[in-house]
This record gives sequence, structure tokens and C-alpha cells, in this order.
Amino acid sequence: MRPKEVDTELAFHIEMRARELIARGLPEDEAWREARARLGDPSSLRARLVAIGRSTHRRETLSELWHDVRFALRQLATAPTFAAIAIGTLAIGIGGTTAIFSAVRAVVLAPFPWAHPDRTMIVAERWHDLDGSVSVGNYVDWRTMSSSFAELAAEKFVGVTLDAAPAPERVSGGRVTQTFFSVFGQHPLLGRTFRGDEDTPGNDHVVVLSERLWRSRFGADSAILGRTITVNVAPYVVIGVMPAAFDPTLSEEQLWIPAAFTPAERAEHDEHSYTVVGLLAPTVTVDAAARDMRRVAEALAARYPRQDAERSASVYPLDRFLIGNARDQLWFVLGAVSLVFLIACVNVANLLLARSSVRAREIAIRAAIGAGRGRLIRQLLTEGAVMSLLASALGVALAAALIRVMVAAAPAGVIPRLEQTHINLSVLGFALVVAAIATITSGLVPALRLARQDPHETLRGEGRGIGAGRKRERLRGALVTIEVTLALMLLVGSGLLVKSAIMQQRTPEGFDMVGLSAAGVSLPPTTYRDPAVVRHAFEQIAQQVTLVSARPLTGPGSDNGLIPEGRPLRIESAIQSSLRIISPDYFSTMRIPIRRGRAFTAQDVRGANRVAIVSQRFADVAWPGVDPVGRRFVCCEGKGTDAMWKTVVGVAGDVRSRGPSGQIDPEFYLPIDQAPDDAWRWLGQSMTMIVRSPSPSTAAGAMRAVVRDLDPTLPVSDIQTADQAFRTALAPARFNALLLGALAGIGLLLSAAGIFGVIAYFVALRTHEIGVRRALGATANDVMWLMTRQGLEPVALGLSLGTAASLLSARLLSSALYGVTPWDPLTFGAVGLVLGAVALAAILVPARRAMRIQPTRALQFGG
Amino acid sequence: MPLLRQDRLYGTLDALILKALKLAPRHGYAIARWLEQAADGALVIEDGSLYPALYRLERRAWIEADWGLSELGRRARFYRLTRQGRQQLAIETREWSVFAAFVTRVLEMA
Repeated sequence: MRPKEVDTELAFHIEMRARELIARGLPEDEAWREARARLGDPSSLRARLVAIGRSTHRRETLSELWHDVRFALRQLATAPTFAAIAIGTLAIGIGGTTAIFSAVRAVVLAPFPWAHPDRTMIVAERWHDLDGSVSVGNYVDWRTMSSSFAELAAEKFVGVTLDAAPAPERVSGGRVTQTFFSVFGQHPLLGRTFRGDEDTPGNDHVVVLSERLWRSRFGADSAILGRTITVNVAPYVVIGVMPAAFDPTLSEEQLWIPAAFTPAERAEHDEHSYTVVGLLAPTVTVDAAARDMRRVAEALAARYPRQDAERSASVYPLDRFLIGNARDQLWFVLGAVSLVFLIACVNVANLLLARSSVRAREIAIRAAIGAGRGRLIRQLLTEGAVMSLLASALGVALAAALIRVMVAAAPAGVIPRLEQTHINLSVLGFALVVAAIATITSGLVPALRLARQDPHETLRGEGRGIGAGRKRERLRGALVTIEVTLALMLLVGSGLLVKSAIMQQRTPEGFDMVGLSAAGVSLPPTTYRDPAVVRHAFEQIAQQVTLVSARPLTGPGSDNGLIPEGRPLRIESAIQSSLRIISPDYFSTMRIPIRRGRAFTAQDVRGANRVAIVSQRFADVAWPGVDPVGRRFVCCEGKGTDAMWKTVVGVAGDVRSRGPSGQIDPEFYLPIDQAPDDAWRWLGQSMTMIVRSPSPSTAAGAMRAVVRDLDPTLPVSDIQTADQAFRTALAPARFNALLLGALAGIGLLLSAAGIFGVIAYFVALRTHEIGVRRALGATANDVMWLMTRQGLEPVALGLSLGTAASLLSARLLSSALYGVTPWDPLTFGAVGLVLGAVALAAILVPARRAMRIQPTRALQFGG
Repeated sequence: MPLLRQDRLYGTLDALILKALKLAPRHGYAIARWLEQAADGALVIEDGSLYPALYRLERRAWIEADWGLSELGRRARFYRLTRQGRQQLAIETREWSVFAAFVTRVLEMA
């Protein structure tokens, strides 16, 4: 109770008492004096009442709030359809935004569990704008010459054979320097990590296990420490187990063994196979470290001109490097879901606006019986808040379900850390606030206007204030424009990305996938030491099945610089291309066409003329416009006097080796028997077997049998059909398309409902006007045309604004598009057509209904 | 628990106000008039003590008030009984009859 209200109440009492006394015959001035006197001393009474009232106020506010909440719930219950649509729409917006932003947080924004995520870097060798792996020699020199890092470490990913019951198993592992674990600062779950001298030859037979391997292979045995296990046929002592969360490069290594560099390795600057990570010194910035590393690389280039002349070094934060593409993808999805959310808000604003005209009468009555403006406003605010709260509760449930579906549907390993997504409270809070602002303002603005109006006029006019109606129409026109703009942006963006995914799926791969199965086989260097022995073993396997050194669809072959004859034998002349070592039947098994010349034959053996087959892309780069058959090039082996020239005997069709969305690399092929001796080391003495058979199990059985016949201790790894590989390669794009497609669908549905609702209501409001026009002699066609023109005006404006905004933001999308330009006319046209059709239907349906009404009836209705 | 609370007499006005509001919501002046008419001149309630009583009852949530329009079209605060007020009225009524019976018995003692 405010003092002013106390005064009003007492004044009312005095007036009533005075009237009574006058009626009893007292003179007017005496009556007033008596009425006042009966209340006693006015100032002390007033002070007493104000004091009591103030203490009441607090509790009363709470009880009024509760009253308002109950009232709001009753209001919603009286219009269940309205409530369901409004709350459901908001919940979709809130739930979607919350789910996607939570994913963005888990994948992109959440720090990695390292001791210093902001100081953890990846350091790469840079060769002609390409970042790549690092040679041992360069790593060793970087460590001594650079001054920016508190710690540097190197890791080489290796496949190792774990010889334990029941059968030997191939697992992925890391050969790491002793410093590796201290870069990340994560402590082992059990035992310890490598000590100072354990990465030197002779002391290196110790192994650290991943939690996963410890669990799956050793039954989480807590007595594992000190046990000796067989890795690559050699005994290793288990010294530690890393926790499940330790996967710093997201490569899922199962164990780590020390990288004990021999003096020869430490001097090797030309073989680039290590990934280098580092912990920046506390005060050094990324830029400063990058400058420092470029300086070091320049010094090394001067010292080792043959190996390092063209090599620089680059430094990136490791977290950004790991997240890579997933970042862009998720931001696009977040953009789409935000548009859906905005559309939902606009829809609810529309609904509330429509409802405010229905409620004008109710509000006017309440104003007329004395409800203050503040009270009415508070009531409307409460209604908005109650609606947003209900929508948020529903939204949370929706978000939880969406996250579960998303994590389940996402292809494994494509979006790092997605499985760590959980509903994020700050995001939910944000969505809630935006939804509340949307509901409250859109409910409040018309209510305020109504409250300002003279209630009597509103009541007389049956809730149709003429001025307010006109303003409301303008507001609704603006809402239609906004909605069309948002919907167009959403649909165009998603349309482009979905179309990209479809284009990828249709891209020819360059070979026939039907019935192809593949499996890996590796020869452990401990038993297969000599290149000749390795070659001989693979030749034997190749008698039965097709062999290739790198599986198609999962990436290019080994990287090699190759110099065509006629160019100077210098590194600048090299064409970077990808080598596959194959058995002679590779092209026929894969059904890769030979465009010129011939395929390899059994006569292409060691000692015979050295031959090679190049891909069409390679031929186009190396010998443009010339028949490459018979040309020679240098590659991969040979030095100085004996350059070991290889002669091109054939040109093979291009293959999209990196998978459907990848570029086409220049490639070349060498027969197994003529493979450079060093190649076996690059390849880790591993090859892939390929069999074409209608039955994948027959194919797998055949490949297993071939290996068993050769050596029963050899494991066969990664048995997979080409279809599976293809699906895996396509999975990211498909997942993205699915997510965006679903969002676009929801967005279209919401915006169509919104546009339809607004325009239909707008036309229905004008039934009266239509009647007048008809009565004055306008034909049905005249009126239809008028309605269509006026109704389409805000739609057309929205379409042009949306197109402009989409064209302006097209640049953002272009990196994610494949086979589609960001201004693809087909997508823009189709989206415009769909939205235009929705708008037209929204105008014509109610307009026709209005037209059927007799003019006289329309006039009677009064609108 | 003692049969009678200390403020029995003091609370009489409260009980009467609750009774006045049990029949219909009223503004302060209407309550005063109803009490005057019901007492038929036997009881004079000071206007000055009516309002503090009303505010106290409101604070105890036995009655609640809302602005409305009086019969003459003026803004006035209308009081009405809450559920708690209704219960309180029942208690007051019961206690009063016990109290009255007690006083009667004492006074009529020989």
C-alpha cells in the first residue's frame, strides 16, 4: 500500500460520510468537518495505516504473483489451441537451439582436459603451403634451437601386433618421446609414464596402456603394472595406464611405447613421419612461437640444404587443429537452428498479437472496473513469463531427446567430442530469456495501447479500435516480412548444403564398388627384416588376391615428389603426387579403365625395364597435351648417378581416393616387384588385400585363408566392404544434410504456419471492407486482385530482403559447399517459389471465403 | 491452552468486521455503515479505529482488498473475506460464545 492509496481510501470514506451527514440535514461545511473529525488525527492515522500497509505489501506481492500465475494458467486453459500452438512452437525453438548450442559447446568451446589447453600447440613442417609431418632430425634440432616451448614432444602413429591370448591382435599405438605426457599434463590412472632415459635405445622396452585396452584386453587388472606383454614380438613391461579421457590427438591410440631414436634416426632429416606437439612457455604467444620456429627452420634449411631447403615450420593451437571442420559444420547448424528459433518467436508474437485483439474487450473491462495500468501490465508480463517457462520445460525435454538422437545418429569419430554433449544451462537460460522477451513484448505492446485507450470506447466499439487496428495491420505486415526473410535465408542455406551432400553422393569414384572387400595385412619387422623377404611374402599373397599399398576411399597413397624427364633434377621441379604399389591385376579387379597404353603384367619384374602407370590427372599436370606413354620420370629412389628412371607404360582413369568430397590427386602406380626397397618402411610393411565377390563373408574367408597359408601368426585387420568404406566416407556430409534437412523442414513448417496465419487473419479482418466494395459494384476479380496485391506486398518485400541477405552471407557458406555455387539459381528459385505459393494460398483461401459471403451479410457482420 | 486469549475484547471489532464481509465484499465506509445498522445504535465504532483494524486483518490475510468502482463511480478499496478469514470467523464466533457464557455465569453467580 502506497501512501497515495491510503489517502484515496480515506478521502473516499470522508466523502461518503459527509454525504450521509448532509442527507441527514447537516449543513454542508459542518458535515465535512464532522466526517473528518470522526477519523481522528488525520496525519497520525495516515502514518499508522502506511506502516501496517507496508509490512503487508511484501507478502501481498508474493500472493499477487501467485494469483497472477494462476490467472495466467486459467487464461491459457481457456484457449487450449492457442496455448498448445504457442507453447509448442516456442518449445521447438528453445529445444533445438539448446541442443545444438550444447553440442557446439561440447565440441568447439569446451576446453580439452589438458593442463594448459591454451598453450598446447601442434608444430608442423611446412612445405609449399602444405603442413606435414616432421623428420626426427628436424624434431631433435627444433628442441635444441627453439626457445618458445617449455616442452616439445614427437609421436609417430604405428600399428603394433599385441601377442596375447586368445589371438594376436593389431592395435594402433603411438611411438612417443619421453616428453609426450608432460606436454598434456594429464596424470596416469595407474603407475607412471616414461622417465628421463626410457626413450633411449636399450631402455625402451616399457609400455603405457590406454584405459580402453587395459579394460578390454587385460580385464582392468589392477596388478597389471610390472607385467611383461608382447608387443611386435618383443617383451615390454607395463609401467602405467592412462585414464579414459587421455586421447590428446583424438587418434584413439591403445598404447604408447617410447620413441628411442638411434643416432642414425637423429641425423635423418628427410623422412617425415612424426607429429610434433609442444607446450608454449608461459609468456610466449602463438605468433611469437611461429616466428621463432620459422627462424629455426631457416637455420636448418641453411644447414641441410638438400633435405630442408624448402621447408619451414608452422605452429597452431592443437585444439583448433583437432576440431577442424566440425567447427564450421556446427556453426552452420547453429545458424540454421537460430533462424528456426527466430521464426518460432515471430510466430508466437503473431499469435499473441491476434489474441490481443480478442482480449481487448477483457482488458477494457478490467480497466473499467478499476484495475490500474500497472496491475494489467504485471498480469500480461506474468502471462508471457508463464508461457515461456512452460515452453522452456518442454524445450528441455526436447533438447535432451534431440541430443540423444544426434549423438546416436552421428558417425563415429567424425565430430570429435560430440558424445560429451549435455544440456547446457547457460544456453538454456539464454533461449529462455529471448523467448520471454518475444512473448512479453508482443503481448505487452498491444496491451499497453489498449490500456491507454479509453476503455468505454473500446467496449462500445466491440474491441475494434480503428486507429489501433490500422497500426496492428502495419505491425503484422512487418512480421510477415521478417518471417519470410528468415525462412528464405534458412531454406536457401540448408538447401545449398543438402544439395552439396547429394552432389557428393553422386560423384563417380573412378572404380566399381560393387562387391569389393578389403582387408589389411602387415608383416612385423621383427620376423620380416629384409626388403626382399617382405617383397617375396607379398608376391606370394598377390598370387591369390589383389594387393594395393593404400586402400581407396580412405585417403591418398604415399606422398612423393616426382620429376618428369626434361625438367632439372631439383626439388622445385617435383610434382607432388601419390604413389600406390600394386599387384598387376589391380586395375582389372577395381575396374579402373586403362585410358592409354597397358596395365602391368607378370613380366614387369625386378631387373626388367622399370615401369609405371600414371593417372589421367597426373598426365595432364606432367605432360599437358602430350601422350605420356613412353615418357620417363624420377621418383622415390636412386641418387646422383643412378637416377633410376621409370617409364610410363599406361594411363589409368582418375580415382577419387580421398572419398566422395575429396579432390582428385595426381597418382601413379608401381608394381610390387619393382617397389623401392625403402617403400616397405614407409608403408609399415602393410598392404591391403582386395577381392571382388558377391558375398562379403566369402571374400573375408578367402583373404584370411591366404594370409594363414603364408604365416599363421599374421593377423588380418580392418575387413571392410567398399560399400562400408563409402558410407563411412560419406557419413559426415550425410549427417550434416540430415540435421540441416530436418531443421529446414521444421523451419518451413513453422514459417508456413506463421505466414498463413497472419495473412489469413489479415484478409478475414477485411470481410467488412470486401462487402462494402462488392456493394459499391466491384467485381469479385477486382477484389481478389486487390487482396492478393496487398497481401503479397510484405511477402515480396521479405523475399527480396531474404535473397539479398542470403547473397551477402553466401561467402560464409562457400567453403562448405560442393558442386554447388553459393548463389545456385535453382535453390533460390525453388525456395522463393515454395514461400510464394504458401503466401498465395494463405491469401486466396480466406479471400474466396469472403467473396462467397453476400455483400449484405458481410456488412451486417460489421467486420 | 487457556480458554480465552488476552485480546478477546480487543478482537471483538475484528470479529465484527469479518462478519460484515462474510455477507458481501464491501468498502470501508460500507463496513462502517453495516456495523452501525446491525448494532442499531447500540455500538458506536470510531471511524478512526476501523481502518487500522482493516489493515491489520489484511496483513493477517484474513481479508483481501482490491480497487474497484463504487456505486457512485468513485475508485474505492473493496475488502472481501479470504478462506483463512472465513475459518477465523468461525473460531471467533465459537470463542465469543464460550466467553459470553463464561462472563454470564460469573456475573450470575450468587
